[in-house]
Amino acid sequence: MRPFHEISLILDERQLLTRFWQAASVFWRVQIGQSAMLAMFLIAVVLLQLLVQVALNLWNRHFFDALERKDAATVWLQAQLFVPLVVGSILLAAASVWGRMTTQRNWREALTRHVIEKWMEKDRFRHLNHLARGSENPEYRISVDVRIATDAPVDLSLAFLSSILTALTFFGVLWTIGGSIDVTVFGRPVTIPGYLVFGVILYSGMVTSLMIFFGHHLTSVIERSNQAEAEFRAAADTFRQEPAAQNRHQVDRRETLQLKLQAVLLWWREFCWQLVRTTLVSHGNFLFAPVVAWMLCAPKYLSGAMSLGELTQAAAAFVVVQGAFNWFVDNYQRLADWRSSAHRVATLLLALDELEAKERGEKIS
Amino acid sequence: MHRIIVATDGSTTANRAIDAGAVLAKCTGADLVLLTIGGSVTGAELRELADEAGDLSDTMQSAADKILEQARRRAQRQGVRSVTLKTGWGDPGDAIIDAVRQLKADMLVVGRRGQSRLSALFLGSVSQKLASFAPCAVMVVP
Repeated sequence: MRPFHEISLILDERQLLTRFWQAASVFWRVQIGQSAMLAMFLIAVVLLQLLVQVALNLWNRHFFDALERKDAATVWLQAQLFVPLVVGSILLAAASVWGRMTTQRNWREALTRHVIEKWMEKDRFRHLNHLARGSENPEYRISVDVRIATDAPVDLSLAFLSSILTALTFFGVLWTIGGSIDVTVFGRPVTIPGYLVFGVILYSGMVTSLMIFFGHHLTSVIERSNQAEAEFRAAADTFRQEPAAQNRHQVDRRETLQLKLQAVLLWWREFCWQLVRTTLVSHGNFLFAPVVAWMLCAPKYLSGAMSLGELTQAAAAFVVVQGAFNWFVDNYQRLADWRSSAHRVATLLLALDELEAKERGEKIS
Repeated sequence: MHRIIVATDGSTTANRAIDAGAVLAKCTGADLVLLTIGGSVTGAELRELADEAGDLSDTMQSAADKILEQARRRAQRQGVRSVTLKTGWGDPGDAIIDAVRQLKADMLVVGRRGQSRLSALFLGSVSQKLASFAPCAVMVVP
């Protein structure tokens, strides 16, 4: 019999994801009323959060303009306006947590019940031990992998939606506030319209390229690391189940356990180096992004074409758009975690399908 | 003397240890066990494996098997007939001491590795650790 990990690796990625989605979509297909309500609630929260973000961005402008004019009445009015905006933002953040976690809990419940039902039906959990593919450590797949596989898509898709909407909305802010700038190229005057939009696209493109250059192995290393952890757990489980009398087997199992531990540690070492490399870029970006925004706006402010309020508003919008562009980079690790957990759930489901097919075959014959 | 273990990592000094251990085993009639501690994989190799969805356990196992097979041929050239091959995992010092205890070896033969003074200071020397803690006679071959 081939080792478990070899067999799970040769399964086609599309086959695994299709099988996962087939089971995971039960919640979205069967409990359509509940799932649609939750989805609409979450989208509404994202839209309202965006609205508050735009209002806070505008507040920045009005507050700093008032400060520049030394207009005490408007500063006081803006200070009062800040309170409902903050309260709204806090309430929406809390609502978002409730909505996300409720969706995740319900989705996890539906998928876990579906897998458990298949696993327990006709005592399949007893026969699964004799089947190589996806049969190792089913309890862990059902509890932890199902949780990760249903948690991550909710957070990731909401963050994606929010990033797209934020980028589009604040592009408008940057285009309007930034306006055009006149520069001299090879002695000829050139006007760049909406130069802050081009600036943020250029800067974000640079950061993303650097991130991809430094961390392009990260997702595959995380996946291999997760796989190694799963194999280590499976080896420990097998060692525990070995009867005490079979000493020779116990020595072999012990060596397998050590080998799997070594693999876990080596992947972990590589994961650490990948994180070190990507941190160089992400922390550099954290320090650079606001300064780049200020530097891009400085010429217009110094020439008097931009007020202090507009400068702070544009700089804040620049950082927000830049952050939205970073969705993929920020979620590298969660995407990899989700992919490996979805793969492991799908492998278990395919193993159960195989048993089910065998049962049907026996009945027919 | 019943059993001699020679620890090897495939290096030149380890080869000298195999020669010495094989001669000793031949003269005393002791069983010769060739031991390697697997798991030294570089970052570049790991990244390549990650991208190709290769299996690390298999890679480590076959690298260890290759070292042991070369060691067996070397020992047999010294006239030793029966050679047992064994692979250990984890910290080299601890894994070798574990193997000595498990196999009840009477002697351990190791090569003195060419570590820099700095790394020896920070990481400690495997041969020094073995000479201090192994529960049998230890021969360190320069």
